[in-house]
Amino acid sequence: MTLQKNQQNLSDWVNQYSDILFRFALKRTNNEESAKDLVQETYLAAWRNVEAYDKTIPVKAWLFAILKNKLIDYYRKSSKNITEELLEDITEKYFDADGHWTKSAYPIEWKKADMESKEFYKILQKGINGLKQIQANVFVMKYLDDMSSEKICKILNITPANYWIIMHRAKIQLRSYLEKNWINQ
Amino acid sequence: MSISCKKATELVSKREEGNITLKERYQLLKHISACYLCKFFATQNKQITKSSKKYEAAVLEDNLSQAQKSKMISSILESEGV
Repeated sequence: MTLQKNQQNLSDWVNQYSDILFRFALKRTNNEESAKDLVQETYLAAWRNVEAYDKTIPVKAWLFAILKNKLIDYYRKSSKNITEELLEDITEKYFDADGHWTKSAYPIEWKKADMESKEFYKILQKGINGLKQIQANVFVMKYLDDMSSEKICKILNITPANYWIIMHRAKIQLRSYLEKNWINQ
Repeated sequence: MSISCKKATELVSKREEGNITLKERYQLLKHISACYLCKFFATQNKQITKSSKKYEAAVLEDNLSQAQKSKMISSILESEGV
């Protein structure tokens, strides 16, 4: 049976799979609007390429493959302004001239153990969303998509040294954000 | 020679990327054994990356509304001239 380019197919696919596609995209963009746009682009691409669809693959897997490609484009396109990002050393506000923690940035002990609840994940999502886009992207690519640093550098067209600086800045800020907005609440 | 906290946090990130030298590893361990602030930092960094992996696998009930779905369908059909 060939897939028909018809309205019924499109609405079936949207009704069946858009929520799981949306959740997948939301965890990676940490932004509802971007996630929704990516899902829409996925269905548009599926609609346009329905004749090329390989029937040995389930529709769901096919849609996910399209979405993953769209996400790579999203990471790449949204990782602009690398030079600007590298010039501004945000770690300066955490350390004094001698490299000691500034008093206001002293890490505190985390007594609250819960870091696996839905409430925590919402805060984590906000924290990642609050990072500079390129920092958020490297963090997500590494820890959610489980990509190697080589692959991330290739996709974003950055050097290993720059990748490492960006990742370090992402982590130092995210830790501080979580301490203020989760641990200390 | 002992390293600063700023340097120690950088080495924590380097260690997580798996490209820390033996000398740096020694410097980091020595620093952390004497500095509880950086010790917190190192432990918490680990917790965050661990939680992020769990976040990836967690089923969260973020859904699109029926209105958003209908709009998605109609705008695709419209843009494709159907």
